Amino acid sequence: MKISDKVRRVSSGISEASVITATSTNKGILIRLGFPPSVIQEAKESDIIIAVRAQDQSSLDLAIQKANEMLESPEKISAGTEETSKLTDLDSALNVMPDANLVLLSIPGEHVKDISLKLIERRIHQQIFSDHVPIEDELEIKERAVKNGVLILGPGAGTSIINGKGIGFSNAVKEGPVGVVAAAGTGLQEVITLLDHCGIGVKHGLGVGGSDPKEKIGGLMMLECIKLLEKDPDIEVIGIVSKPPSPSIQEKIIEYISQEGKKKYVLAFIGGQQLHADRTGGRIIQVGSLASSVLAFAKHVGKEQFMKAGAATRISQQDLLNTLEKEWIKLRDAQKFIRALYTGGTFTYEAQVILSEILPGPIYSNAPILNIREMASSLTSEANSIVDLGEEEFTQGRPHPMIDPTIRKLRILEEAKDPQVGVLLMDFVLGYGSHPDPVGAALREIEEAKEISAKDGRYLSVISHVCGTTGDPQGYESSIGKLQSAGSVVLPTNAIAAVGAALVALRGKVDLEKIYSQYLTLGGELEDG
Amino acid sequence: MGEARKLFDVELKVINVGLDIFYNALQMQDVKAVHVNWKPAPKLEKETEDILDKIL
Repeated sequence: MKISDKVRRVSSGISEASVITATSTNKGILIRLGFPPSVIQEAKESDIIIAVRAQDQSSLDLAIQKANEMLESPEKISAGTEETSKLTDLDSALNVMPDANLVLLSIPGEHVKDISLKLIERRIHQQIFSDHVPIEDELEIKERAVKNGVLILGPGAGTSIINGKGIGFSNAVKEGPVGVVAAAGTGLQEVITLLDHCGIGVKHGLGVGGSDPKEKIGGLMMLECIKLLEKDPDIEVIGIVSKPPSPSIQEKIIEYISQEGKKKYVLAFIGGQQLHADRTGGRIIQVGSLASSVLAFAKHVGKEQFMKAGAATRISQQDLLNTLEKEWIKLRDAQKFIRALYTGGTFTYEAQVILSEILPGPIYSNAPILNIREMASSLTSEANSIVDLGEEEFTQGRPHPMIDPTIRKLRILEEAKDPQVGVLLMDFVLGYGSHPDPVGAALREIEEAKEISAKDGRYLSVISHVCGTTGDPQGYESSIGKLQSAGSVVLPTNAIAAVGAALVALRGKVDLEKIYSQYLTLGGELEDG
Repeated sequence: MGEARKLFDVELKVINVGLDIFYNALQMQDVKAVHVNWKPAPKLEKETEDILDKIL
């Protein structure tokens, strides 16, 4: 993506530039971008394609020259310092930084085990972003790490915060009395950013990877992280953010924190039950959505923060209805479907949980939970579709959509052409590691999507959620402002955005009392207003 | 996990292996970091690999 960006900037006469490996996904994207299929299809998997659209021959020549230069001298691409960009292996890096205490790995999953085990021998902690690490490798790594007192965050952990510093995809949040253990990357980002809006700081946010709370791994690192946070004197409230763990793991965790834990806890098992009358006299609160977990954290911290959390994470039922009625009255009768285009995996999951409670018809996804149907093809939506653009089929040979928004930009335009689509639902994740301007990058497509609909005599409702803080480099307020000026409704949490999309699609016919009680409040506290 | 507890008490020093955007993100937060432009070791032909396994 870095080469593509640099090539794109070489002349103002270049409207599109992609320098990418010729995987089938990438070839499909280039064809959708309008490059001739016959030429693109000639490329083999091992080839690199330079695809440029330019207004004149000289811009085109400049672009191709730049791409060739950079492909021949990759060191020119790195934004790293002279000293560091020359390092190509871990041993050299350990010579340069012999007292390194954390290694962040984002390499193909098949290579993770060898490197990780060597690092464990040297007692070096690790955050592993890499996906596709075989589960047997994960178990071996984690068992050995526990024996040696080494912390393993991941595999599949994109986000962590240690002593207030973000590792991987993370946000600029205040430091404070909260520590979170998460097996849900964008879930962690949603929780810490919403807490930041309420004035509640986070000292540690430890991502353990989605497989950790499953039977095979047994919650090994989740439990170790809980023990670590218990021992940190600055931490007052510990949160666990995850899809519901395997029943036996959930029981193991609850048993540990009930019997051994001394601190206050929030268990946010997305889609799980809300439990308030617990066995610990209010020390442990269990909730079923990311937004309600923020209310629970705030309740533990103090009354003032709880009221602030209500204001920051919610919108009253009446205000939500009033805002969205202006959207649904413009739709034609046939426009009844939602197309959710997500970059965050946890947001996709949470939207499925909530929308499956509300929508009467079938829902499709490429990452379906139990009661959702699997899409026949991730590339083509049908009826109500909730698409996780960060899934494997979209990321093989290309960066994650939180880094490179191209794939979503194309999809926005395609969804707009379907006369049955009424609502586009999207997340925009700000922070370190993400695209420098995820909203700005999609703005032209949002406007064009609305134009496509308008030319066909339709209105297209766009509902967005921005996950970020005022300290994030992309600008939180300005990102919201840009979306609003492009005609998008922007809602304060992913959960409310999902409810909002359903309200528009069903023309207001949603049992809001029930949904608010289940996902947007703490068992009726802050029920409305 | 006594060793891991120490990570919370000392300054973070990170080696980033792989995506350089994460290295840039660490730099933006003034975290001490070095970046490794990691590449997989070239894959040996299976036959050569078997021979090397026998003689090494």
